[in-house]
Amino acid sequence: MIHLPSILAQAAPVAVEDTRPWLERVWLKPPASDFAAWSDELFMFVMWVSIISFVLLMVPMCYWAWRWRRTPGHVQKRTPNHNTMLEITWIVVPLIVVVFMFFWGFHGFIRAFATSSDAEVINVVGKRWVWDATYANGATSQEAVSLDTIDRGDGTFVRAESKSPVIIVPAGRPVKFMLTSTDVIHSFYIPDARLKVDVFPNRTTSYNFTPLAGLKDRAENLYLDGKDRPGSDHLIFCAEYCGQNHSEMAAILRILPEDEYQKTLKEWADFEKAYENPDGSRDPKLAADQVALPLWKLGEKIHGLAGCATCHTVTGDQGGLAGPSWKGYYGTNIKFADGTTLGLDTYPGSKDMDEVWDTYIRESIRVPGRRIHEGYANQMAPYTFSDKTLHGLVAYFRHLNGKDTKPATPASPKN
Amino acid sequence: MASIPTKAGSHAHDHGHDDHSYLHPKGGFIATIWDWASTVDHKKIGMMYLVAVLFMFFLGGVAALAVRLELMEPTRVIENQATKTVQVTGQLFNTNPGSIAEGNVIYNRVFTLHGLIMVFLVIVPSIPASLGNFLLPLMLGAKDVAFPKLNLLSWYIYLFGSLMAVSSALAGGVDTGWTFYTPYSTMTDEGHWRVVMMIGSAFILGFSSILTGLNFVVTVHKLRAPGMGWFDMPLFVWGIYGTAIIQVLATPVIGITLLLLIFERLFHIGIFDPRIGGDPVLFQHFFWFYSHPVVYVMILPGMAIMSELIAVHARKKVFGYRAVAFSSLAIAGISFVVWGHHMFTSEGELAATIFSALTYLVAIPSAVKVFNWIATLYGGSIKLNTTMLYALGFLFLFSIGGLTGLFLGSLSTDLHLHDTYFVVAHFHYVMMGSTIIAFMGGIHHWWPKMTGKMFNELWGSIGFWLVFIGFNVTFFPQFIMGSHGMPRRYASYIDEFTIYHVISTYGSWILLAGFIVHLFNFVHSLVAGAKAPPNPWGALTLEWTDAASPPITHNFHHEPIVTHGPYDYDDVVPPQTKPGEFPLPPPLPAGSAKH
Repeated sequence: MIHLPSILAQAAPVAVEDTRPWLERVWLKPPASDFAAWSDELFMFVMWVSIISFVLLMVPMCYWAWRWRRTPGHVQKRTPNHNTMLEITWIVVPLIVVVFMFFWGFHGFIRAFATSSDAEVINVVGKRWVWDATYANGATSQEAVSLDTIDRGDGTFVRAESKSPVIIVPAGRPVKFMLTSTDVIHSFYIPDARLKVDVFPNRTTSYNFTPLAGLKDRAENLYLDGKDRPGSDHLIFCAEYCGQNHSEMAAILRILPEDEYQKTLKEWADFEKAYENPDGSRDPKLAADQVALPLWKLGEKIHGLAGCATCHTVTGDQGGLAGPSWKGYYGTNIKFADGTTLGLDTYPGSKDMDEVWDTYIRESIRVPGRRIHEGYANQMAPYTFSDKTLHGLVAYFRHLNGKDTKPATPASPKN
Repeated sequence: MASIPTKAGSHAHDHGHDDHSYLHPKGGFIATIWDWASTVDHKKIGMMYLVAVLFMFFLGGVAALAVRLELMEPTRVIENQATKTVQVTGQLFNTNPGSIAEGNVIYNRVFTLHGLIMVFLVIVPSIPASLGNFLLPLMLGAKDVAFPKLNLLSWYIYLFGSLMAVSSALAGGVDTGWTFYTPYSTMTDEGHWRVVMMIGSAFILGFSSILTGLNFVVTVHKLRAPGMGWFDMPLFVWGIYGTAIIQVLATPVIGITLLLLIFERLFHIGIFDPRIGGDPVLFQHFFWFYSHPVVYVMILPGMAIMSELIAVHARKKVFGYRAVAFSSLAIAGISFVVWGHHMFTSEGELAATIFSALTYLVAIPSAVKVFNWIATLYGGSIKLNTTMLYALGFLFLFSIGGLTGLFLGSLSTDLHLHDTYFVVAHFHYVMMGSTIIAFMGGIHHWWPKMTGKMFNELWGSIGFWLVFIGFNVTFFPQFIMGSHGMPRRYASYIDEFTIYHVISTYGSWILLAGFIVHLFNFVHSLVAGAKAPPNPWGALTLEWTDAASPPITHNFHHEPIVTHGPYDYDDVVPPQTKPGEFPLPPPLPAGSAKH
C-alpha cells in the first residue's frame, strides 16, 4: 500500500519508480493526488476483504459439492437444519466489517469535499463537448493536446478529431475545482486523482485535492505530447453520458511545479497580446522585438482551443460533425430552420452582407439557438469571449472564405 | 402423506373438464392459436411470457454483441500526410469515412437499446412473469392465480409495451441511455416522437409489472392449499412474494416520473429541466427511487430459484429456512431506502453519507442467503447436473457481484469508480451473472414440468460451461478497465484500454456459443426428448408431487393437502418417483439431537 508521507515528500513533480505491491499495480494506476493515495488504501483493504471472503465461500462450496456428489448408493447425511449461534455470527461479523468500511469511506468523502481555505480555485465549465477552465487571474487554458497522437512510422499518424484542453494545477498545493455546465449533465472525472463529481447546468459543484507528482507509469516520460518537462500529464474524462461526442469530451490535467505554474498562468492571462488589435495596431504589451500576428490567427487558435472544432470543420465539408462548416457559407443568404433567410433585413440597419455576417457570427456564439442554420439541430452551448477574440473569430471566418481580414470599421454587435 | 400418486387421465373425474395436459391442442390450428391468445390459464400465460422474454433476450443480446464488436478497437481518425486524406478506423457503425461523430450517434443508440430491452423487457419480467406465473399456483396447490383475467391483461400490456419499444427502436431508436437522465432526454432528437414513444413504452410496461405483482400478493395470501402455513411455503414463493411487494409499491413511482418527463418534453412544463425552472437531480431521485428497488425485483426471483435448485439437487432442507425467508422481506424493505447510492457524485454530502450506511446494511441479508445456500450443501447428496451447475455458478458469480458492490458502497472509492466499467462489470455480474444464470438454471430445472420432455444433460452441461466461462471472460476484464479509469458509455477510448476490450469481446462470443448450445438442446428436447416422469428430481414441492408433467389444465385432480415441509428429504419418500430411486438416509443413533 501507498504510504502517504513518502508520497507527500515527492510533492516536487519528479517521476519516481512505481514501488507499489503487484496486486495494487494490477488494479490501480499510480495515484496523482493525496486523495488518490488515501483512497487506494481503502480500495486495497476492500480488495483483500473481498478476496478472503470469496475464497472462504468458494473453497467449502467446491469441496462439498465434490465430496458429497451423488454416486450410486450415496445418500445425504442427517445434519442440523439451522444453528442460531452460527447464523448470528455470520450476520454480526460481516456487519462489523462493513461498518468499518463505511466509516473509512465517509472520512475520505468529507476530505474530498471540505475545502481548505488556501486552495487554488479553478473554475471549469462543461459544455458539449469540451471543458473550459478559468484560473484565479482570469486566464483561460491556451494549450490543447491531441490525445491520439501516435506516430505510426509509415507516413501516417493518428490524431483525435478535436484537441483536448490542458488544465494546469500546481504540485503540492491544494486546488479546488468549481464546476458548472451550460447544457446537460457532465461529470468531471480525473482517474489518477480518483475523483469525480457531476456537473450540473443549474448549480455549482466542487471538489478539492492536492496534486502529487505522478509515478512513472509510461515508459519514457509522463507527458502525453511526448515532450520532456518537469511535471506530469493526467487524463480528465466526462463520466456522465452527454450525447453524441461524450467519449471525445476529454481534457488533460497537467501538474506543474509552482514556478512553472505561475509563469504559465501569466502567459495565458494575456495571450491576446500576440495578435494585432482589431484596428490593425500593435498591442502595447507585446515586446518590441516580436512581430504581431494577424488577427485571424487568433480565431484559428480559438477554433482548436474552445471546442469549436468538435462540431465545425474549416474545410467546407461538414465531415459528419454536428454543425455547419465555417467555410463556404460566409456572405450568402443561408436559410434558417424557422423558414426565414439571412439577409439585409435580418438585422435592421445593416449596410451589406459583411455586416450581416459579422452580426450573425457574434449572435451565434452568444445565443446559438436564436437562428439555427437549416438542417442542423440546436445543440451548441452559448460562449463568452473577449471583444478582441470575437473580432478574431470573425476575421478567421473572412480569412477562410477568401475575404480581406482587416475591416477598417468593424460592425458593432446588434444583438 | 397426502400426495396420492395419480396418473394423468386415469382418475375418475367428478366434473366435466378434460384431463388432458395444458399443452394438449384444442382442435385445429386456428382454434389452438385462439385458445392460447384468449387463455386465462396461468401456465399458458407463463409459457407465452417465457417465449417473449427469451426472444427479447435475443434482441438485447444482439445489441450487446454489436456494442462489444464496436469496442474491440479504439476508434481512431487517421490522417495520411502523404495523400492528405482522413479516414476513421476501428468503428463498426461509422457511416462517414472522415468523421467519428456519426458512428458515435449509432453506438449511443445501440447501447441504449441494449439497456432498455434488457432491463424493461427481459430482466424485470423474466422470472416472475414466466416461471413465477407457471409455478406459483402449482407450488401453492391452487388452480390458478387469484385473478386469472387480470393476468391475461398484464400479458397483453407487456406485449403492447414491448411492441411500442421495438417500433421506436425500428424507427431509429433513442440515444438517451436507459436511465433517461434529464435534461439530455428532453433535449435530444428535438421534436421527434421516438423518445416519447420509448418513455411511453416503459410507462406502459410498468402496469404489466404492477398487475402481476398484485396478482401474486393476493395469490400467496389467499390461495395456499389446506395445511400450507406461511413457513411451509417453498422458498421460491417467498422470493416471488418479496418481489411482488416491491413491484406493487415501487413501480407507480416510475410511472409518474416518466409521465412527468413526457409532459416536460411535449408541453415544456418545467419539472426537471433547469432552463424552464426544473431540477435534474429531482429526476434522479424519482428515477432511482423506483430503479433501485427494481434491482431487487431482478435479483430476488433469482434467489428464489436458487433455494429450490440447491435444496432439490442436494437433497437437503435449506439451511436456516426462516433466515432465508425473512432475508427476502428484509431485502425488499431495505431496497426502498438505498436509492441514493446511485447519486454519490451528484447529491449533497449528508444524503450520500446516509445512503452509504444503508447500502452496506442491505449487503447483510444478501450475504446471509449465500451463507445459507452453501451450508445447505454440507452432507448432501449432490447431483452435479446442468441445473446444479447453474446453481453453483450462481453462487460463484453472485459472490463476485456482491463483493464488488462493497467498493461502490464506500463513498471514497465510489468517487473513483462511479460511472466507470467497474460499475458495468458489477451490475452485469449481479443482473446477468446472477439473475439470468438463475433463470437458466430454473428453466432447466422446471423444463420437464413445463414441457413434459427431458433434455440432454451432457449438452446442457457443455452449454453451462460455455456460458460460465464466456461470462467471466467478458466481464472480469471490465473490473480492471474500470478501476483504471475507463468511463461507461464511451464509443471510443484511449488505447491503453484496448487489451481489456479485446478480451471482453472474445468472451462475448463464447457466451453466444453457450446460448446457442442451449437453444439447440431445448429444440432437440422438444422434438426428440424422452418423456418426462412427473417427478424426475425427487422433489417435495406440490408441482412435482401432485401434478403431472406437463400439468393438466386444472393443475391437480384434487385439491392437494400439505402434510410435510417442502424440503423434508430426510423423512419423506418423494411421491410419483420409482421406489428406491431417492432413498431416505439412515436414522440418527438414538439420543442424538434432532432439529
